[in-house]
Amino acid sequence: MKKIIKVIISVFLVALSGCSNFLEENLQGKFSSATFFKSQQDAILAINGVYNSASFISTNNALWVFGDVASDDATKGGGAGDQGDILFVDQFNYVRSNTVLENTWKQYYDGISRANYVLYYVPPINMDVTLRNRILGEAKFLRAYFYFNLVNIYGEIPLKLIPPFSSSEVNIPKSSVDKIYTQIVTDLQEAIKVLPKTYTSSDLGRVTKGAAWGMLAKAHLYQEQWSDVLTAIDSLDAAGNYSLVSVYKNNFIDSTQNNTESIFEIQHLRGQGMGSYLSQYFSPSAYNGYYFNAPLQNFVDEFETAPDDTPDPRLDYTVGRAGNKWVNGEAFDPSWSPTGYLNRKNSEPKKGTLPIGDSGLNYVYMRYADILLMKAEALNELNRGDEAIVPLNAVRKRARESYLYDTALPGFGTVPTGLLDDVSNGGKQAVTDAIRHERRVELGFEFHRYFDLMRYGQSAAEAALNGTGFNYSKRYFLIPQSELDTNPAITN
Amino acid sequence: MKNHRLNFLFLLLTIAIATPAYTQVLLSGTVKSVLGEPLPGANVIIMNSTIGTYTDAEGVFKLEAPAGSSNAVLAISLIGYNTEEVIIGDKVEFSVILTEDLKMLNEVVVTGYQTEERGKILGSVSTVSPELLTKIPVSGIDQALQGRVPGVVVSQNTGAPGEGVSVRIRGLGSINSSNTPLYIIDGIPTQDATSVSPQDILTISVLKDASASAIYGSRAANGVVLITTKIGTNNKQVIQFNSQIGFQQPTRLVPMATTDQYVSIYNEAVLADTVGTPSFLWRPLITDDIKSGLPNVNQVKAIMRPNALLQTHSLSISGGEGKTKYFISGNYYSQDGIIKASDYKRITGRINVESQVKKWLKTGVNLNVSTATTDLVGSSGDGAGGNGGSVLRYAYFRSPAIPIRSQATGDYTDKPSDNYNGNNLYNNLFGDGYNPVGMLAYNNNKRIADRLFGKVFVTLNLLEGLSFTSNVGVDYTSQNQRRFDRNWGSGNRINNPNRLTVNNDRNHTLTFSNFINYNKTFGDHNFTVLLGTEAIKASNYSAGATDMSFANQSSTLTYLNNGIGVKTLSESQAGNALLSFFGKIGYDYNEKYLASVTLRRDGSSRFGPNNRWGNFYAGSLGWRIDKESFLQNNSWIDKLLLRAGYGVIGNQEIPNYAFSDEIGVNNPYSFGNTKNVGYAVSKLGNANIKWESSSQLNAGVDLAIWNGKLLMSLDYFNKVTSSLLVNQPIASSAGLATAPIVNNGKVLNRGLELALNYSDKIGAFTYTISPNAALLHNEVLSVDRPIAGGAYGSQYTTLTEKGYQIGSFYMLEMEGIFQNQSDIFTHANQGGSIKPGDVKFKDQDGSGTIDYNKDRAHVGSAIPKVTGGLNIALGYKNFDLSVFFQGAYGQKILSVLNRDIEGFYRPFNVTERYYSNHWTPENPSNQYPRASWSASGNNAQISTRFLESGSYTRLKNLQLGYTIPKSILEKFNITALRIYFSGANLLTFTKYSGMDPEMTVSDNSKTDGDKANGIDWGTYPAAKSYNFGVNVTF
Repeated sequence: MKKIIKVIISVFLVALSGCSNFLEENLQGKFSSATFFKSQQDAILAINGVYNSASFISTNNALWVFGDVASDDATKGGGAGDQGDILFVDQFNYVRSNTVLENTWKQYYDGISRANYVLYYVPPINMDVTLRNRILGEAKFLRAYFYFNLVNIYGEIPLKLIPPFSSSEVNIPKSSVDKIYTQIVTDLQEAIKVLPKTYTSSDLGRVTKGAAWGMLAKAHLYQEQWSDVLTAIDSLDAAGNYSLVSVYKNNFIDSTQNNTESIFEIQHLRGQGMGSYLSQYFSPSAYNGYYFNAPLQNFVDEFETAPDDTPDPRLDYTVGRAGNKWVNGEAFDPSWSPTGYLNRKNSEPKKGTLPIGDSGLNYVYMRYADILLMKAEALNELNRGDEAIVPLNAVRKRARESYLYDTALPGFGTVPTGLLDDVSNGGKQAVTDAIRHERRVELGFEFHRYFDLMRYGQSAAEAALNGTGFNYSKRYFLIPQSELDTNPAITN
Repeated sequence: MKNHRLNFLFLLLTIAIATPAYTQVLLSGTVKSVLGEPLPGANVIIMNSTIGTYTDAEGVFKLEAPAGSSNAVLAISLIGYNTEEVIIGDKVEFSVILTEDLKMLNEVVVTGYQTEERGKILGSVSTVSPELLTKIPVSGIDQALQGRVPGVVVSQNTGAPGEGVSVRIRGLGSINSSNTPLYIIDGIPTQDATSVSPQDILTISVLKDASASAIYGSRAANGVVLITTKIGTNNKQVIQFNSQIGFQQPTRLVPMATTDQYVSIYNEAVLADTVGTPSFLWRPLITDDIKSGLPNVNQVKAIMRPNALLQTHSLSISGGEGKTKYFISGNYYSQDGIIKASDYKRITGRINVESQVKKWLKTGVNLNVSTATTDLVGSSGDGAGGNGGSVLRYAYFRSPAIPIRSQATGDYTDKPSDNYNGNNLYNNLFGDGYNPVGMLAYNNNKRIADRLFGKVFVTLNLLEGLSFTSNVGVDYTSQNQRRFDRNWGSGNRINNPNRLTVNNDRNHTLTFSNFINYNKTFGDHNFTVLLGTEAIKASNYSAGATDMSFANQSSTLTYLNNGIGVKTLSESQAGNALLSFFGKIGYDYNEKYLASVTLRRDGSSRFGPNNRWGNFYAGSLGWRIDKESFLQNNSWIDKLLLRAGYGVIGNQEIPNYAFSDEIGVNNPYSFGNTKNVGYAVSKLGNANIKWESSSQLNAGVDLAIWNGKLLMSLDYFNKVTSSLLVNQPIASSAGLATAPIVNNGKVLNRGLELALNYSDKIGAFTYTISPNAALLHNEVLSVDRPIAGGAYGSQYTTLTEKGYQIGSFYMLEMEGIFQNQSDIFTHANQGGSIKPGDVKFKDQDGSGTIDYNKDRAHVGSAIPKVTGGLNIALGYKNFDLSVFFQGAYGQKILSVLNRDIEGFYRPFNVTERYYSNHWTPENPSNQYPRASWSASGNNAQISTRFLESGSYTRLKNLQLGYTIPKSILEKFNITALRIYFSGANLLTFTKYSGMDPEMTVSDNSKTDGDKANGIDWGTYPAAKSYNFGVNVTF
C-alpha cells in the first residue's frame, strides 16, 4: 500500500513539474509581427502587400463610383435595383452606412495601415540600404496616394501614421484637410529622395521618382499652389522620358500598357488572383457583366466634332454607342445600357471561357496627358496663357492625330479638317474653359471627373450636378457609420 | 429442493460455528418490488464491511457473512428504489421488498470528480431523467435538454440536419462567441457532446452556479453539463432494442405573392418611381403581352422534400459477470432534411467496461466511436459566414414568374432571360437572384466526421473512505470536408471557374486527471475531501487544398489535380494547454448543517505569459431544516434544505493565440506581369489579454412534501461577469485586419428558477406534472466603449451598451407611415425625397431631423426574459401519454428576410401580406409602406419595421405509448415491449411572422457570437414530425 501511495505522490509531482513549459503554445504555421519583418525578403513581401490594397482585385475599391458615377459623366447603370447603394451615391441621397462609402473607406485605410506597418518595422531590418530606402519610399508614396483619395472623398479624416497597436493609435479624431495634405506632401517629398527613376523589367509597375513628382504636382494642384505644380512637373520631366503615346487607346489595352505615357499605373494580372473586377462591372449583361458606370448623354455631347461630323476619336475609345463597335469587335447594342452607352476604357475583350471578372487590364491612375493638362492649368492660373496653351495643344494634337496612327480607325490616313484644332490664348477664362473641357474628354472615365469638379468650385460643381441631391456643402461624402459606431474620437 | 438447500445451509452454519477459523454464515434471500416482481441487480451489502453481492436475474442473492454478524445490518439498494436496511440477527434467509423511490431524495448525483447525495448538495444542480431525453427524436443530447431544466435555454442554430445547438445556462455571461457550457462525459471535458447517443445516457446533471461548478474552475463560467453513460448490472443480461421512424414537414412557410400579384405590385412601383426622376432611371413595365405567358411557381415549395424521413435505431447489450460489468451499444441516426440535399447520418458505437480487479483496484474503459456524414446546404445567413447564404432566402425572394427549368434549354433557369433568348429586359422585370432548385441540385458539400471519445481509468481504494482515481481521456476527431462549386448558369456565370475545396482536419485532446477522494466521519461530523490535478493538451491540425477549372464536372472526376486552374495549398497547426490544481472540502454536522469550500488554480496557454494563471474559488452553506427536532415529527415535510453559495470562476474560451497578431500571405501584386507574393497583417493581437471572471451568488431551497409527491426547487442567482472577453469591432479606419480580442465590460445576469414536480395516482391512473420556469435579467453594467455587433452589410444592428442587454438591438424606430404631405411637413425632417406612404421614424433626440447616427434607440434583445417547460405524463394500466410544452418569452427577432421580401429594394418577390396590405392612397396602411424601389433607401433601412416579438410556446412532443402485457410477451421470451406514436413540434403559438421563432442563430453570428443572435436570414426551420417507435427489452 505504501508503494501505491508513493506512486500517487510521484504522479502529482510529475504533473506539477511539467507545468513550466506545458503551457507554452506558440503560433505555428503562421507569421506574426514577432517572426515576420526580419529579413530583406520580408520587407519586399510586406511592400508588395501594400500595392495589393491599391488594386481593383477587391470590389471594396470603388474609386470609380466617386470619380465617375457621382459626377455628371455617368449614372449607376446596371440592372434595376442592382447595387442600389451606388445609385444613392449618384443621387446624393445616401445614408452613412452606404456600402460604397463603407467599403472604400475600409479598403484605403487598410492600405494606409499596411504602409504604416512597413514604415514601422522595415527601418530596423538588416538589409541592403538602397533597397530598404526604396521600399520605405514606395510605402510613403502609397500612403500619400491612399490619403489623397480619402481626403478628396471624405474631407476631414483621421490621420494615422502608426500601425493599430492599441486603441490610442486606432481611435484618432479627424484632422483638417490641410493637415492631411501637409502629410501627403511630406510623404511624397521623402519618397522622391529615395525612389529610382526606372526599374528593371521584373519590377515594372513599382512607383518611380517620376510618379512621386506627378503625385506631388497633383497634390499642389488640388491646393492651388500653382508654381509648386510647375516645379514638380519640371522635376518629373527631368526624372524620366515621359511622352504621349501616338495612339490614345494604347493606354487602355493590356498589351500596350506601362508605356511611355504611364506615370502611375495600378497593375492587374488575370488568372492568378490578381485580376481586376472592373471589366465585369462595366461590361454588358450578354457577357455576364453588370453594365455599371453608364455614360450620360451630357458626357457624350462634350466631345468635339469636325464640321463633317467626324467625332473626336477619343469618344469611341471611351464610350460604346450605337453604330460603333464594342471591345470584341461586335456591333454595340444600345439596349445593353439604360442610357444607351457603356464605358470601355476598363472593359477588356472576352478571353475564351475565362471569367470576365478576372481582368488583366491595368488601371492607369496618372498618365502624361494628365501632367500636361495640369501644367497648362497652373500656367494659366499664373497668367501665363501663352505658355499654357502649349501643353494643352499637345494633348489635342495627339488626339486628332490618332487618324494618322491608328490603322483601325475609320477614316484612317488623314486628320479630318477642323477637328480638334489648336486652341489659341483667348484670355484666362477662355483658356480655363478649354482646359476643363479637355480634361473631361481626355481623362473621361478614368475616375477623375468628380474630384476635378469639386476643385473647380461651388458654381461649377453645382451646375454640373444640377438635378441630383447635390449641393456644394455635400462635396465631401459622410464618414461611414461603422467608423462612428466604433471610433469614439469621431462623432460626425 | 428448497428444503435441501436449507438443510445444506444449516450444515454449513454448523461447520462454521464449529471451526472458528472459517466461521462463515451463508445468507440468502430474494429482493422483490412491491408488485412482487423480482429485482435483479440490487446491491446487497453488509454495512461497514466490504462484503456484498448483487441479486441475480430472479432477484436472488447469496452472501457469506462472517460469524458474529448478527448485530450487523444488511443494506439492500437499487437505483430508483429506497434502500432497505435489515438487521441480520438470527436470520439466514431474507425476503426483501424494495419500495420505489419516488422522491429520489437519496439519489446519488454526479457532481464532478465525485458523487454526492442529493440531500447534501448545496449548489444549484439539476438532474434530468434519461427517459425524458429519448422521447424526442433528436440527434444529440444537447437538443434533448430543451425545456427540461429551468435556466437552461436551448435553441437549435438552424433546423438543418446535423447543425449545431446553442445551449445557454443562466443567460449570457460573456459577449464573445463562447457561452457554451462545459460538457463532462464520464469525467472527460469537451465542448461538444453531439456524438453521444441519447440512448446511452444514464444520468445528466447540470451544474449552474459557482459552488457547484467551481471545481471545474476556468471552464465553468457558463455552467457544466455532466453526463454519465450506462454500465451493466451484475448477473442481469439485458438486450435492448429501440427503433423509431418518422416523417417530417416544415412547421410553417411564409405565404408569398403569386405571379399575378407580383406583376401588379411591380407595375405599381414602376409607375411610382417615374415621378420626378430622369428617364434613364425608369424601369420597364410588365406588359399584358409578357404577363400572359408567365408561369406561377412556388419557389419555396420547390426546394422542399414532401415527407422527409427521420429514423433512429439502437441496440444495446449490457450485463455483468462476477467482478466485471459492461455495456455495449450501437446506434444509427438518419435525418433527411425537409430541404432537398441536406441530410445527416450518424453511426455511434459504445463500449463501457469496468472491473473490480482486486478489492482495492477498479479499472475500466469508456469508449465512444462515431462517424457522421452531413450534406450541407446554405442554411442561414447571407453567405458572410462562409458556408453559402441560406437557400431558403434565395427561394423566398425569387420571382414566381421564373420557371424552374428553362423552356428553351430544359436546364435549370438561371437568369430569367434564359427563357427569352438572353433578352436582358426580363432580368430587369424578374431579377437575377439564384435559382434555389438549381443551387440545391448542383450542391455538393459533404462533411464526414469520425470521432473517438473515451477514457481509461483506475481507482484505488487505499484505505477505508480514501480512494485515488486516475483518468486518461482522449477526444480524437478526424474530419474531411469536400465542396465542389459547380459552374453553371447563364453564360456559365455561377462559380466561374468551378472550384473544388478539400479540407482535412485532425483534432485531438488529451486529458490527464488525478484526484483523491476521502470521506471520514468523526461522530456526527462528516467530511469529504477532494484533491486533484488536471492537465489538458489539445492540438488541431488542418491541411487543405483547392483546385479549379475542371473540364469535366462529373462527381467521379472532380478530384484534386484534375483541374487545370490555379491550385492552392494550406496547412495549419494550433494547440492549447490547460493545467489545473483543485480541491474541495465538504462538511456536515449530522447531515443537518452543511458547508463546502472549493479552490481551483488554472493556467491557460491562451493568455500571454504574464496573465496565464487564475485562481478561482467558491464556498457554500446549507441547512437541512427537516432534520431539526421541531420538524422531526411532522408528517408532511420530507425534505427542506436551505442553501447559499458564492464563488468566482473563470472563462478562457477564446481562440488560440489571441495575444499575437497574424500575417496573411495572400496579398499578391503583379510586377512585370508576373505574380509577386505579398504579405499583410490579417489579424491584430492583444498581448494583455487575460482571464474573464464571473462571480456568482446563488441561494436556493429544496422542498419535498407529502411523501415526495410534491418536489420543489427554487433558486435565486446573481452572476456578475467582468473583464469580458470580447471580439470588439474596432474603428474601420484601422483597416481590414480582424480586430483583437479584448477584455472589456461587466455583465449582470440575475434570475429566479423554479422546478416543480407533482406525482400521484388515482386508482390505476397515474400522473406526473412537472413545470419549470426561469426569469432572467441580463444587463451590461459597464463597458469601456459600446460594442457594435450583428453586422448587416456594413451596418451594425446591435449595440452592447451600459444599461442594456448583451446584443441589444439598436436601430431606428418606426413610427408608422406618412399618410399625406402635411404629415411629412409636421414630422421631423426625414430628407427631401420622402413621399406619402413612406416609413416614418421616431426623432429620438428631438432635433427636428432624422439622423441615423443620432436617432437610433435600444429596442429589445434576443435574450428571452422568461423560459419554461411543462411536462405532463399520464399512465393508465398499459397506456402512457406524455405532453411536453416548451416556450420562451420576451425576446425580439430581427427579420432581415423580411427586409428582402418586404423591403422592396430589388425586383424580388414579396410576401402575400405585404402585397395585400401595403400603403396606397386608397389603403392607408400604417404598417407596410408603399411599393417603390427608389424609396427603399428610407423604407428598407434597418429599423423596428423588421423587428418582431419572438415569444413562442411550442408543443415539442406528444407521445402515446402502449406496453404489451407480460403474459403475451413471455411466450416470445421478451421481457418488455412498448410501442408508441409521437409527434414533435406539432403546434407553435407565436406572433412571429417568419418561419420559426426558435431558429435565429445564423451562420453570420459565428464570428460575432451572442451579440448577433436573433437575426433571421431565412434560417432553415425546425421540422414538424410524426413518428412511430418501438422499445423492446430481452
